[in-house]
Amino acid sequence: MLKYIGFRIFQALLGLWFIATLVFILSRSIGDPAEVFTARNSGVDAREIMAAKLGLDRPVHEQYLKFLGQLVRLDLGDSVSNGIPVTQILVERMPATFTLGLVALIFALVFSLPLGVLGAVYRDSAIDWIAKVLAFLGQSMPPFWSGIMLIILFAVVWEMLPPAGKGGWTSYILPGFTLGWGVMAGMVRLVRSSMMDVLDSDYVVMARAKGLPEAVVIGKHALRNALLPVLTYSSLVLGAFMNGSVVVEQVFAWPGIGTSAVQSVVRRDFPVIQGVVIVFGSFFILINLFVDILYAVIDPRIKYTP
Amino acid sequence: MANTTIQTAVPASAWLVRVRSSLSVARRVPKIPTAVLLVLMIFALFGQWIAPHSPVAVDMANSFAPPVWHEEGTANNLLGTDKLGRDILSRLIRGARVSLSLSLFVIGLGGGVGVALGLISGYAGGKVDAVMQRGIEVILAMPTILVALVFVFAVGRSFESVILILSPFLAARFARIVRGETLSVRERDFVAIAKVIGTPAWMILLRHILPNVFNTIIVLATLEVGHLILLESSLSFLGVGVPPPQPAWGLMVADGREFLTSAYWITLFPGLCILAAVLSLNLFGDWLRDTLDPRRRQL
Repeated sequence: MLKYIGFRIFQALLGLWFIATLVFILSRSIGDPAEVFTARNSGVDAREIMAAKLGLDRPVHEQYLKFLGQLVRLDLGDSVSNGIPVTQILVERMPATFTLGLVALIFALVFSLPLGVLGAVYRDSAIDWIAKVLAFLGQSMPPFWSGIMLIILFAVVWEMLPPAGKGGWTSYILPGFTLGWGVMAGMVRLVRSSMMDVLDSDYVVMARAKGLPEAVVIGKHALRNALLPVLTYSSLVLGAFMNGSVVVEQVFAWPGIGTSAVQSVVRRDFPVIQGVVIVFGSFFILINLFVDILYAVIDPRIKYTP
Repeated sequence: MANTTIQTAVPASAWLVRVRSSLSVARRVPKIPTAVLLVLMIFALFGQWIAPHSPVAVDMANSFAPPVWHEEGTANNLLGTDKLGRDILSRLIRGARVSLSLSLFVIGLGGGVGVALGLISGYAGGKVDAVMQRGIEVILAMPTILVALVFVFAVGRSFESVILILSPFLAARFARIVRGETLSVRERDFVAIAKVIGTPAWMILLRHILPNVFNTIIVLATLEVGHLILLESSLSFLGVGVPPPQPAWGLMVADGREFLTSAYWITLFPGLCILAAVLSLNLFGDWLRDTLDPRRRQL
């Protein structure tokens, strides 16, 4: 198993290197790098200083090594629109994105666990249908639009919740729900199907035969065993939230990393974009790594053939 | 002589059985999703003759006209107009073409490459497979929308650049699933026999393996069109999709954001179109999967 974990870590490092290299190639191919990394109207001096900083007079492989060296030291350069170090911008904005992701995950779990369990226990009942409709809607609705519709209903018409921005706990409800709804679909289906598998298993039949109350059978014997795939899925979902947050943060003017990504595209602020891609990409890869290792530790039946 | 009659008789009855079974399948098609998809396809193909107005004609005197069921609404603009006085209904009809054609291009390009890679990866096995799988994992581990943002930032906003950036992601998804199917088909007897009689590898892939993974490909493609419409509209919403004045649904939603309280129709209808299209594709895809390929309920 250690060999497997070692291999997965190596693979993750390979992925990180791949993303970094991709960003490097991109930064050198979309125009004069000295111009790409400086503000649009900056003078010749600023560009020359940047050229010296990037080592543009040196051969490409030296520039590349320099770039990797700076990455390892977490130096992502400075924003061209306000001169703040990119690392600082990202560190400041990260908590907003992560808390939003966490709230969305809680929303998704709170809705999908009971709906999935009840759907599996009472197949084809009204609640099973409600779960299905909710799931299909979540899967098919563009999050930017459902977010706007929720704003119209809850903030404009009923004036119950703040329409945008990050403030008290009420400001988390709409963006969290919007982000969570999309993954709720997959989760309801997963809970339902793994619950159905478990309900047919011998130990549940045994528990029923012993005459245990139905609530204990479902809640204790079945649910606990049905939860493992859901937990794995939850951690993968955090990765999906990285993607969704770009859109949802934009709708709710949420001061997170996703918003800064879109803003920097508008401002043509390449260092910030580069930083966001590296951070999001790394996060994706690290989550996958974490899940795989967790799986290997929890479930010894997994074969470790790379 | 007798032989030939028997030979023709058997295929003829087989053909009849096939027609009958496909008729009975056709009767079980989910009606509403199929109808919605047909309407969208008609819009996409014949939109310019159906739409009451040009989707890009600006009419400032008639801006923010409400839909027909409002008091000030007129039958001239059934679903109202936007801030430039452009007819919403005509833009929605034209938007169907943008969304569907873009998705189909991506399915053709990305899906085609993905199927080829998946077949090769699954059939070759060993080092080729290992290297391809690592590459696919890296692509699948990248946040699509963000990468697309950056790519469009770099190469500029156009129909083609959206297709180019979405295709690799789709190819990776196709490749992974087709590879999995290929792995199991590869072990079947008819492949072993084909190998023994010296059939070249490409022929085995095309004649023996591809037909056996075809159902999976069709189901996957249907479900992925819905996914692509969502992605494309998200990119349009963020301002990096198909460039204006092309009426992409996502862009229309973004256009209406400033006027939510005064002119909700600009935002509401394009969103409903996306929802209807994606929901229908998902329902249709689910039905197709249950019909063609009951083993893959997890897809």
